[in-house]
Amino acid sequence: MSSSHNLSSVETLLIANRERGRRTTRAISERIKVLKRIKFYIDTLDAGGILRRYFVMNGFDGALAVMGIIVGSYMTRALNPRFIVGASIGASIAMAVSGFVGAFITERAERLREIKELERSLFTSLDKSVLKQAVNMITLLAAVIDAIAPLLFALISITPFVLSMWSLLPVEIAFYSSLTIICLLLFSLGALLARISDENLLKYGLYMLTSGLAVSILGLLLGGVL
Amino acid sequence: MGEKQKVVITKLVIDALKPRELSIIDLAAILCSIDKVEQVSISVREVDVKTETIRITVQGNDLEYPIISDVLVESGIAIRSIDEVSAEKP
Repeated sequence: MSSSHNLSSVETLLIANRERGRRTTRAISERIKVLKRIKFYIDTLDAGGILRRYFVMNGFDGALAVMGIIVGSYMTRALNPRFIVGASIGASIAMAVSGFVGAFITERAERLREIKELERSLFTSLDKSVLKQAVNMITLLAAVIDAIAPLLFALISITPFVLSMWSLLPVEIAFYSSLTIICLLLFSLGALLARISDENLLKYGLYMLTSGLAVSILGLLLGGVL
Repeated sequence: MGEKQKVVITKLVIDALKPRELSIIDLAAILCSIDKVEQVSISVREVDVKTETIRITVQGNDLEYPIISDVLVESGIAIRSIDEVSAEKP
């Protein structure tokens, strides 16, 4: 439920002054800055939580997917920077597309269901209302965040291998640097969650970090066996 | 022959149903930004799982009901009835 924003942001809310007959329609939306409008939509539908969840979950997926590729390459003694960068980019693009489509369809279905229930309660159509516009915007925003998060985390994670591709960094150092970056990213995600829920930063950071470490330790052990 | 004097609406009291997602603070500010609206007060009469019944009092000089109703519809409000009107000859 939205009730926590001040009047200065409210005055830029979406409103249309419609005038019948000769007078023209003046939409305040022309004066609204895009970010303020998006914030209003997020507050109205209380969508902050779901957007944060999409960002954290999919960022986590992106980082761990790259970790899997790097550790898998190490296990098979095939630490080729070009291959790792190519496979990671390919995987992150696939995750981005899948995230966008999946989130768009599921969010839209859920939100439209809520709108239809509300229409039944109000005995009126909400097609032209700000709530329908908010649903459309939030659906798109969720899909974009679902797409960008894994892509962003994956690209950050493979930066050392990109440098190694250009012979700016030895492969072994790129390997350990990449793993370190991924661990830092995972810890940061945990810290972000702790900040949101007002919990212990270190505890949540370590929860996320442990999952990453489990993948890398398992991989390194199997690499020693293979 | 006397000239016809224009009659202006100065107060409207509207009974409406609104979704709980929309705050009455936002709604009051939206209505108050309409031309010729000078004062808005909103009170919540009943609360339901998904909706709230509200009483909207709009005051100003020469209020235009079609515009006010369009704005309410675009805000997702269902107008149930107009309970009170004040009109005057300026």
